[in-house]
Amino acid sequence: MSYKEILLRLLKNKMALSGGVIVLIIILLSLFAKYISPYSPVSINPLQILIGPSKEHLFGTDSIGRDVFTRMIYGARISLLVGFIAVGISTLIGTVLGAISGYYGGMIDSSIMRFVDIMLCFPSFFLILAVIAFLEPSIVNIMLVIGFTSWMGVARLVRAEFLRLRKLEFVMAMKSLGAGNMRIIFKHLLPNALAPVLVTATLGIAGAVLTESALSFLGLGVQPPTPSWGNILAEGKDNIEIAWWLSLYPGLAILITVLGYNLLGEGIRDAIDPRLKDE
Amino acid sequence: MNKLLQIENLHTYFYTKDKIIKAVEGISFHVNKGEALGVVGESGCGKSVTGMSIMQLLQTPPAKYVKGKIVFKGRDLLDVSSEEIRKLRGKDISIIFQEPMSALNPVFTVGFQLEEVLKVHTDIDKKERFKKVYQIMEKVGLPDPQKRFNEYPHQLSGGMRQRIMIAMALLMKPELVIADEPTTALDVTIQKQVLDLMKELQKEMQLSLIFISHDLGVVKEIAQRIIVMYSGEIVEESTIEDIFKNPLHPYTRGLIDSIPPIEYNKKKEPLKSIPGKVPDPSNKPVGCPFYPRCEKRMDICENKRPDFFEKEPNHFVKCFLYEK
Repeated sequence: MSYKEILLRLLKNKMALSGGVIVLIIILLSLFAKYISPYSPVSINPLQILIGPSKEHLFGTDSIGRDVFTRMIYGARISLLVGFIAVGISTLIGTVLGAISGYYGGMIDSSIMRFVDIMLCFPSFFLILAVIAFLEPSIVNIMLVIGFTSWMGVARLVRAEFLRLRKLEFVMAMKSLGAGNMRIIFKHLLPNALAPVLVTATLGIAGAVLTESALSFLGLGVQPPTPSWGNILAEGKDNIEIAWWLSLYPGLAILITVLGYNLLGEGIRDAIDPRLKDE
Repeated sequence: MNKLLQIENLHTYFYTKDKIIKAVEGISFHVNKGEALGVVGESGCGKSVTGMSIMQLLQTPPAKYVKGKIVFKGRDLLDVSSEEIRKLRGKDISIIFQEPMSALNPVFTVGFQLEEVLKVHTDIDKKERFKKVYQIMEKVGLPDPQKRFNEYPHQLSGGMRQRIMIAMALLMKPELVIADEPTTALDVTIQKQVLDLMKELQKEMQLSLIFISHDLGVVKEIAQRIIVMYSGEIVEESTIEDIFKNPLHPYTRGLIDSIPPIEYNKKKEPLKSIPGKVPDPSNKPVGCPFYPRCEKRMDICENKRPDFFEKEPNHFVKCFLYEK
């Protein structure tokens, strides 16, 4: 199936399309945050504390007078950045290890897969908590830690693909023409395994956004005053009885974003699955 | 004689958990420069393993080149490093496989795949590469190469794909080409076209060709000399004319008899075949491996293996019928 066909099938799928639109809107909002909001995400205004949603302040203001909408669209940058880079790291590690594991098989495969099993033994959220407690909680550290603890699924997936691919005739044909193993793995086989990796990566971003929010909520993630959905939510919980908007909007944002990525990811999965025919 | 490839007493075994599969057992033959050698035999007689052994494309383990020499241009290929073998593949020795359907990568254009061969072996720039790819595509009979260059394998017919495979194999102008049943997966009319093309290219490019097939009729079209393999051994070697005129080994005779006759068969005789099948390569008989199926078996064949000897000039056979 060509990429054009896949794209067409994706566009026909209403769920996937709405997921894609949600993701696109959030990306655009965060990219153009500077032009969309007249306020700064960190400037304090003691005269406008805890004002409810209004024309001037769409999502209200917080306990020190910052505009919540502004903080959220700037926070979206952090959330999405963490999502993309963490997933980038995990996809890279998972793909390389999985490809080598599946292609070579034997001892190499067994060693890498046992390492995957060991990594999967740790309850990952607590592992991340423990690591962050040792390192300084910063955006870079969070991306690295999430990336380094979530590559195992990708590795298994890519390995399974390579176990299938390496037996195909064109691998032998390429070999017989003098191509080396690395060229065969990364140039010729990897593009054949890319579609399922794309699905996992899309779903992975949703997971990473959630993890980052949870960490920031617990105070181990992005540190104030830099806004992130998790820490806006955390600050909001102190005033939840008198200012519901402080908790509701960031919570909804996380929900909708994760939903958007999941819909998109599942849409891509359906689009590349040749067994699901168009009705 | 100008020998390009000389194989001496080659043994290729596969080691599995509980048995040793003796796929190739002590074969010796040579290929001269510019000559086409046919290799025939039933499925499972070791033809393909022989071809793969020359290129060292078998996965080791389970395969192992136990004994013997593969001398190509004065160098024993079993002695050189795997990196040197890699550089040899596609450049000095090429192989064309049976399945053109799956031998091309579905996600790349055929042009890209042809270009890859040049990228692996040379440093020439893009313009040069394109030129060479167009040239070879025209040579193998693919009209309009500029258009074909950007097509994906699934857009091409089986015959065209096999032409692409041939183009890939010949791109670096190798001296030796191993064709492993290159026409078997094609339908008959295309088979003829591809065969004619290979014949023409072999002459034009002065290629040495090892043409592996189970079809004596096809081999007859292209080869000058022929070896007949049975159960991992060579049972007969001779020129093409000789083998049809005077087949010595009962197995060769059986193969020739099982070619369907072209003339109308008045008596409606059923097509002849050789009863039985190739012995299990992990459990071969002690004597001649053809003994259980042989029409002319004698007592001596059961427990002793015959020698390979020159019965007539340039006509070798491995059978007790002709030993004094």
